[in-house]
Amino acid sequence: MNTNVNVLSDRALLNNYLSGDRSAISELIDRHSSRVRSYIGMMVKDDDIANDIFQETFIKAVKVIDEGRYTDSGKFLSWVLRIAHNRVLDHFRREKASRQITEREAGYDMIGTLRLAEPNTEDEMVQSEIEESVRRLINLLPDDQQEVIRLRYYSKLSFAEIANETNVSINTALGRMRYALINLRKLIKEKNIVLS
Amino acid sequence: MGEIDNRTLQLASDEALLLSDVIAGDHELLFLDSYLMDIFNGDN
Repeated sequence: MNTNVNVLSDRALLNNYLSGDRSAISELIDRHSSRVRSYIGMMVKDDDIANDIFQETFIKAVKVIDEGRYTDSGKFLSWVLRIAHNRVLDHFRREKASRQITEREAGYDMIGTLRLAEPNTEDEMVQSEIEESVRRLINLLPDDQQEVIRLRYYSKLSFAEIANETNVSINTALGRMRYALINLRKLIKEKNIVLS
Repeated sequence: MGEIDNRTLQLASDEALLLSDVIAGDHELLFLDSYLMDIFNGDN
């Protein structure tokens, strides 16, 4: 059985698209579409609305790329998720404004308040400052949560490997990861950091 | 030409189910996980 899989990276597909290969953008979108659609669907319970927002998201993404305003920094997926997140926020605001419903009914309690920047041009200095701020916040987490963060995002270990490395059960490792993210989110909001 | 190695692909598929336990339906945590994975992508 041939297990060798040669797959173009996001960056390679983007470069191919910008070089004239129109199919490359379709492949890139296909690669991430289920994750983006799932993300939107988790927040917007109506399939039709979720599909509309999904379309808006990728139309916006391709427009930015076509206009030469996207500077690849290895974060295509999180960039698209930011666009999707903000489109969902816009939807909830329109819903609330038009129907005079409570924030809970509009979904605000679900979506939280993480507003995500959609830079049209990459301001590398600002971006690196934000990333540095997030790294500093990680240092404020409890030691066991810092450890799982570092093992997962720095060392790219799997959850099973993290459990093995830290001599805990997989469930404990998952629990620490969850609390690490919850606490990090809390710190990000407290510091009014806008992720970009 | 850029490639995604087999280990990365395998990890991604194995991890999806476990990640869903961590995220537990919280989309902001899903985003934060993706964000952290991206910003530390160049650290290795």
